[in-house]
Amino acid sequence: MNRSFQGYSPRTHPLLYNSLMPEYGCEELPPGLQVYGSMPFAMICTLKPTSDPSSIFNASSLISYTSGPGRIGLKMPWIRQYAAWVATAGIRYGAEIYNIQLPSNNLGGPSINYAEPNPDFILRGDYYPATVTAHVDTSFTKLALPAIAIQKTISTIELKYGISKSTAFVPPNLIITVQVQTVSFEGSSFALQNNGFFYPQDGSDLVIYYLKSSNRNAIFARFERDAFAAEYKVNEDTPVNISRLILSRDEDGEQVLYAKDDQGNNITLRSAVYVPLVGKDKGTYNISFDSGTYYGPLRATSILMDKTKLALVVNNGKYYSPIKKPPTINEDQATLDVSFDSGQYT
Amino acid sequence: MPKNPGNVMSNWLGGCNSLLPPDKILRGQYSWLINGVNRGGIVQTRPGWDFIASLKGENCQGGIIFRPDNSRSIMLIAVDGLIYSAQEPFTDFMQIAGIQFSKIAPIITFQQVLKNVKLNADGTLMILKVPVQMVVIQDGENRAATYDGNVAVVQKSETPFFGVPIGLWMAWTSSRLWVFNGSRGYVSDLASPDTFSENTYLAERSNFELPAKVTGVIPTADEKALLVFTSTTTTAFQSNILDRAQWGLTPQFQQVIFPSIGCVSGRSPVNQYGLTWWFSRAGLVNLNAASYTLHNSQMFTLDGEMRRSARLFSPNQGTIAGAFFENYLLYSVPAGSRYNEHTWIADQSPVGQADQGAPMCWVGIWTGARPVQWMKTEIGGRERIFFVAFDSIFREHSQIHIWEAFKDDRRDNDGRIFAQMESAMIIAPELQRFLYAEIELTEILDIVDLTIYVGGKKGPWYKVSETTFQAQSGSIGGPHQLILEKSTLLLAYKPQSREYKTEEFSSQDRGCAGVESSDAPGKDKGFQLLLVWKGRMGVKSIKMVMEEDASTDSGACIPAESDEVNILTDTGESIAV
Repeated sequence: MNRSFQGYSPRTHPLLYNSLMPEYGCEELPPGLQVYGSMPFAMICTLKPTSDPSSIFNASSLISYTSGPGRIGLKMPWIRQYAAWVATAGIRYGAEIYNIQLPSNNLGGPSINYAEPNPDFILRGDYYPATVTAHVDTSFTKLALPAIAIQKTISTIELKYGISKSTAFVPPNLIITVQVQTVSFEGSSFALQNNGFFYPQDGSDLVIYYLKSSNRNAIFARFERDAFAAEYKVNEDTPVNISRLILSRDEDGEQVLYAKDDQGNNITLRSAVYVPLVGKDKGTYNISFDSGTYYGPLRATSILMDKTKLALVVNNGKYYSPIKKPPTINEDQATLDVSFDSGQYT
Repeated sequence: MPKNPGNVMSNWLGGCNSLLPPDKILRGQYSWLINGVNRGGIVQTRPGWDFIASLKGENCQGGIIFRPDNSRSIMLIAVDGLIYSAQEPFTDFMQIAGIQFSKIAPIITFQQVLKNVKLNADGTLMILKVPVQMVVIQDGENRAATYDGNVAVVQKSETPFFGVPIGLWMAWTSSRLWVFNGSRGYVSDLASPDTFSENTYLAERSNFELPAKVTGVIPTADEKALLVFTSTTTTAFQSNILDRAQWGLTPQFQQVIFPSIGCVSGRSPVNQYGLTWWFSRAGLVNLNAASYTLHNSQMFTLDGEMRRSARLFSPNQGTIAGAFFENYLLYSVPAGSRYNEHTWIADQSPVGQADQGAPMCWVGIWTGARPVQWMKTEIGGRERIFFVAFDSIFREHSQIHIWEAFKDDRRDNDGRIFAQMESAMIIAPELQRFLYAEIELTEILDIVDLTIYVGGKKGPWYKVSETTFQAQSGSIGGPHQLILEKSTLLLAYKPQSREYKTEEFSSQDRGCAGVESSDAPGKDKGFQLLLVWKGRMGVKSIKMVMEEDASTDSGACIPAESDEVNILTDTGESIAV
């Protein structure tokens, strides 16, 4: 069809519509669900605010629920619910506590000195028994040890996470003592999650997503495997001004961030092919094919979690190529230096 | 100045016309329609689509629904070279063991056939007690396979097996399977689609040569001939001649009938009742149009009205997929994308009354999913149509989704559908001021959000109204009538109607004149409306009320624009530099 045969140039009015928008609740505000295939959180949806108190967008920043191990230190699957919340005197913590009404001072134990009757054990760790904060979130590390993050100051996040545990039996109780590491870094509004729910075999780990007041169009992340020392910019130039992260969780095998924009609208950011771990949406890869020429766009690229493979998604499929040398990922990774094993590229 | 009493547009049986500018089309037409239909002359939200299932993978290569003997319908979908099957209701897919095709082949084809005869090892034929329905599967590179609903068999075409040769495009007509590989065609034994031995035993032609690589094939609607397409030609075979020995003796058994009209996509040929349609390089044609073109110096295509979508076509139109459902003709096309973002809809009978002619019209485009292949079947005596799509949004970790179309709730997966209608333009010889519009709305059910814009001959769309309608859906006996007597009739709530007027147009806060005109917003010699709505709603008529502008009857000295930078966006917005 030759475009020169067009008679007149119409005045358009784009209608962005996808039949799956209602599936994600994205039909309320234009342009509905937007897809950014090169971003780790590829699907971004803006929704009207809701007054429904049960809405995830109205979740209190002072209460955090998470799935965790049946007993501290046990491997996945994690099906037990834990909670951390800001009580009158500090952060309290407990398992199988639901529908917390603040301050709930008499539930659980100061974080973390928590005695559980069934099964009998006492959990101890130096977390936040006497800290009152505006935002708390909790999850578990790769070793299934508790992690609690708080908004330390208006521009500082502090995270305490277990790095080891010791067990002692003091009849009639099993006492589990967690050795805690503390990190703090610049950031505001965060969401803590162990995304090992997606790939528990692949060594994925605890991640904290957060915002910075200097750049409301980016989402930053730090990972347990780096001891939270390295900062990654996960999404950049996100087309909404994010003012607050509410929580991160897996939904139907995809990772979803719930957030608010600066207009008070609700925002969902949903991952697509890959869980966004270390991929940077604007990384530059020099790619050549063993034969032929490819004219289509790259739909997505990602370094797999073990850093041994580069994944490319092009128009006719998804390809993996081993990387000889694990890439060093840092703040300035406009160009990522990777080399491929010869002969293994499809 | 006196108000214009109002120009009314209604009865949109002429459908969509984006070939002509909006000020040149008929009042019974509209300029553009997205996600709507115009059956009965009322423009309303299209029928809905329901999500059925997803399939893991990256390369969606095609699908079919077929019904094995004494069994429920089976949907077969090809993804990454693997074939998955699911019995109706097509929600639980299992990979068919034993067959594998190319992972990167863009297309895998399916052809349902009926096997009546079995070839014995000694070359004799045995008539089967029960004919066997089966599907032949091809990717153009690897050995073909057959599947009867239980067992898949990889075909060996060499002696002594004489199975289905490798090919891509296939047709089952007059009890023979025609297989085309490149420019070469092969024909199966009579009533035995999985054996190709007759040429060996009868010493007849083993194959046919076409002018170039075959791009599609379809039997004519009357089954008298087989149309075989290359990208630039159409060849007819007299496939209704059953006796193979007669083929070589029959004059023009194989004949190029349209030497300059080919087919760009093998999924585009469709027989809708008595007529064959397909997509040529120049656009959509049918047998009548192609015959006309053969004897005239003009290429007669039938999709000019859809030019607004066609201008956005991807260079590769091999993905175009056609189907028909009742009087609707559907073509999913790669407009604005490599994927089939738009589905064109033609209604062969928007009136469909016994006492009236029923001319075809283009309805508009449907969006929301990206169909790769349409699949029809009959379930419980009712015809239903499904499609497999490669969507832009992931669900269940996949972009490959199965949908059912033409759901009468006019909702997509129980969500409200976004629709858009751009009317024709009401024109006047002198400059007019747009005052307001009066719109007769109908078929409103549930919550509908409506936004109305007005546009002149020049400049952008100006929003003139925004509203929400609430029309309760359900039935008496629901929460609004909790007490039911034995004799209570349960009646569904009827879709509702509204007469809606926009506010008087004001040019305040609408910026200055644009690059195209020095006139203030709302002043022009013609106006059209753009209606954007979410939900289930219909538009019966549009009345535009304008008044003549007093400042029109004098000449003007218009300076040259040689030192200006004038920018106009696709939406008609002016940008000052």
